[in-house]
Amino acid sequence: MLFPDAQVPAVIERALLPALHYLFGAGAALAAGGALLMLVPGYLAPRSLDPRWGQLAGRCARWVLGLLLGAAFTAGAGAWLGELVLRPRAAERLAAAFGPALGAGGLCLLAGAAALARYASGWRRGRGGSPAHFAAGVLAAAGIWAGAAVLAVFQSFSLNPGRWLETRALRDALLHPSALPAFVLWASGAIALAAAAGLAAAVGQRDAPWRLGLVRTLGRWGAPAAWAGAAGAVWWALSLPSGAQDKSLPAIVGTAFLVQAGLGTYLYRCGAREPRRLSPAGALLALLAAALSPALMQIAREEARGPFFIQGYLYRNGILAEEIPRLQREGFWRPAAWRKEKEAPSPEELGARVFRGECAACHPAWRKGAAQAALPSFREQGAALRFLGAMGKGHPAFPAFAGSEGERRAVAAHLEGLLRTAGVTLAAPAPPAPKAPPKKPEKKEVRPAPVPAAPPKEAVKEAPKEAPKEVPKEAPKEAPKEVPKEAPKEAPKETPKEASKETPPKEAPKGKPPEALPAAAPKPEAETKTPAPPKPPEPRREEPKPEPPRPGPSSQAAPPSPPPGGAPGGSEVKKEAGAPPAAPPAPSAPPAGGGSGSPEVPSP
Amino acid sequence: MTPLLPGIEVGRALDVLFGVFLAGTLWLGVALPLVAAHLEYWGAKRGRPEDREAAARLGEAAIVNLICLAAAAAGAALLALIRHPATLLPPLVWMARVWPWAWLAGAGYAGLVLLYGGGRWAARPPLLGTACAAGAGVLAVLLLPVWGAALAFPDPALWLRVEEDPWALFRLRGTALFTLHHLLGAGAAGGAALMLAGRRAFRWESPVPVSSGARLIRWGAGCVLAASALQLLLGVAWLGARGPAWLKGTFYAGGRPLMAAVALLVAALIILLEVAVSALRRRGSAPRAGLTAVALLLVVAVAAGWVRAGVEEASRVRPPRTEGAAR
Repeated sequence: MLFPDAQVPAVIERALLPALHYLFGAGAALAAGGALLMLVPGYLAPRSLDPRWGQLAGRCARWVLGLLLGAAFTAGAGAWLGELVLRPRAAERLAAAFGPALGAGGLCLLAGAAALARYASGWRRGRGGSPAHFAAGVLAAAGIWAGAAVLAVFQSFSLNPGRWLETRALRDALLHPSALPAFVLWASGAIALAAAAGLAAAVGQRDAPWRLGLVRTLGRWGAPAAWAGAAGAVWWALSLPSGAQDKSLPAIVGTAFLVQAGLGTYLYRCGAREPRRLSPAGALLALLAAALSPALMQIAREEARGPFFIQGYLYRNGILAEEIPRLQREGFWRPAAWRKEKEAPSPEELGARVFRGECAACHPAWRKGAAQAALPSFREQGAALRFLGAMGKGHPAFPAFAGSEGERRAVAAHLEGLLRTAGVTLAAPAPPAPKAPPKKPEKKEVRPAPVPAAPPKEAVKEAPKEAPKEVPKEAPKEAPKEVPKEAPKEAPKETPKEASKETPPKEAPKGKPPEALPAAAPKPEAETKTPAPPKPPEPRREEPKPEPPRPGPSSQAAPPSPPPGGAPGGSEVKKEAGAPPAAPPAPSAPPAGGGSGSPEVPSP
Repeated sequence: MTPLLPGIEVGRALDVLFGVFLAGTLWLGVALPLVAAHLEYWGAKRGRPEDREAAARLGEAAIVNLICLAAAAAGAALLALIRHPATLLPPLVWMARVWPWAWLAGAGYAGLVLLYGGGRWAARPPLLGTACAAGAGVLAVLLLPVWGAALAFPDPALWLRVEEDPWALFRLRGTALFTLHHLLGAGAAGGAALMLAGRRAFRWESPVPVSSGARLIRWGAGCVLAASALQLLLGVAWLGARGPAWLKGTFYAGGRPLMAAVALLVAALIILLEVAVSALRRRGSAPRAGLTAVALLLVVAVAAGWVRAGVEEASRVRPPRTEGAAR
């Protein structure tokens, strides 16, 4: 954790930054396509008696310059600044790896912009049409195309680094397996976008022969470009490695293919072939379709990228894949020059910081405590800890947790605190699998445990209202997998913690004497919707009526029955679990009914 | 690093040159829109189309300068990110609340410069052009403290304040001094640009009256003289605030290169002042004074950058005499 985390509104990261990225991409594409198409009237102007070609060339040059400086550079600067502020670690890594190449691309763009300024100024001062002036225009287009191509190729490189992962050579980064498809896709999209924008401008011309000539010229450039863009989208998607081909990627690329193919057909029919059929609405629609393609490709890139900045090398949170084992040994938190404290903070603060440093790059909404959309598996005590432990193995979309054991526990406690703050009631976890006999584990779980004389206070506080949700699903699955591996390591830490909180209050009455029941078993039947276990009628009647939960630390508490064999060390478990004190239990948890709104899973 | 000259390393020399390029584009970025707005307004009010033509040319120059400024800023940011990420990024992150406003101001500046420089203002209302150019200049002046704050990043003593309140950087005396220093630099650069714009009238068969060109050169020379003199006073005050002991130690530690840089700076500054005074005495009839002023400004900026680098280096090195005295 080398850099602090930025405190900015979530809308900046979720909406403004993607919008700036889109503006930069679309502006650069439009400028590049326009820089190419502006050479057509520039070439025709000295060879034609019509002075309008020269005027058109000058106007095109000014528009392209304005687009390049006003849209592409400004939006690009904003997007870069946003990335620096929100993902400083990843930006540092990227700059260290590709800073010179990206700088060279940017310099090409700026040199092209300078040549373009000279070209546009020449048209205005009446010096247009000379070979030297046209050469300046060609130089401008070449510079803009070179710079934009470097950036486009790098965007695709992050999805398919290819041999670069082994050689780390810049040449392999530029000539990665998807480089050519990505360039074809970008270049054809840029020309089609510029042609569509030109059509939208040309359709308003009053002089019919002039308008028809313009439309025909633009259609001849735009239609093949759009068709090439459609083919390029498919080629690019096929060139991606199988790991990057997300489920939604074919749908997005298919949409881009259809949009580009339809645009090409329209430009051919209403532009190149029958320019009289072009209407203002049709031209506007074509422009919108052409502007949609960069957005679709941006979404496709984000989908295909997954948790990576560079596939297989650098994660979005700025952590290198190869440094995860070291971070697991040494921990994610470390002193830094900018940090006041030199020692690790308290577990609550540590959990929040590690979460912001490692997880918030992909889950920014969680930063503000908006955890209502949490994964269902997290709505059980200990599920977050299990999830973090199995991230690298059971969840291929996630990297392995890059932190020490204590940090993992702190993050899990922080996640549970976020859920509690959001009003989610955490269910009791499944009983420990290692205790169950190998043949009939379910019976072992359901069987009521001997009730101790005095359950530990911490366990009483932490016990949930809800019945365990994932017991029937997860317990039989995970038991055979995890027990042989993790039991020797984690048993002393985790088993007592989970065991002390586990047995759900609904199951406790089964076969128990009424006086042995917990004093407050507030979980009503409607909340769990469990169809299976028949209730013993007699003890229930004698049971004291559960009081509605009060706001406070014990409002969602239900005294659990410890597992067979007792639960030694309950207070120690409480310390290790690190439930954040800043996360109060849900005061709105209803005494009856499923108010907490978590999806229910039938309990055994 | 290979020494370029005795006492000068290639890397440091390149740093100084890049800093001069950055400062020059920054000064011109402030000055050109403001000067253009001035010419646009008074040219329309007093019926001088040649002034409006000069303003349009300055507007075009502002676009080219915008490209250079973008290149310099992007290059500086990239270099700092590659070379000093640990000192650049934490304050950058802490100032997250400032950047959206700075970005908006920068985008507004770029838009206004493009609008003014790319438009044909001779056929449009002069007030609109004046407002456009003046707005760009004002936004550039507002962005100067942000630049100063960004340059103050490497000082870890400020980090605690930045973390607590990112706007505190703008209330520092150093930021105010930095802004004033660059405003004066922008004044000198704008004066030199005016002198260059007036030079056009002295060309053979130029449609612009010579008197108009002389007036522009006179205004430009006045700007250069005033800004340079004030800059000199500011420098003297800053040195005086440091005290004679600091001066002595720094010069002792800096050695001959620092002394040479200071001598060059003082000499170039004196000649620049003399050129400006000479152009004023001749009532602007000095077409070559603009080029001379630009060259001298460049020398002054390079020498000042060299002095600054030497002072920073000297403040890091403890003079050996002090160690001997301690024994």
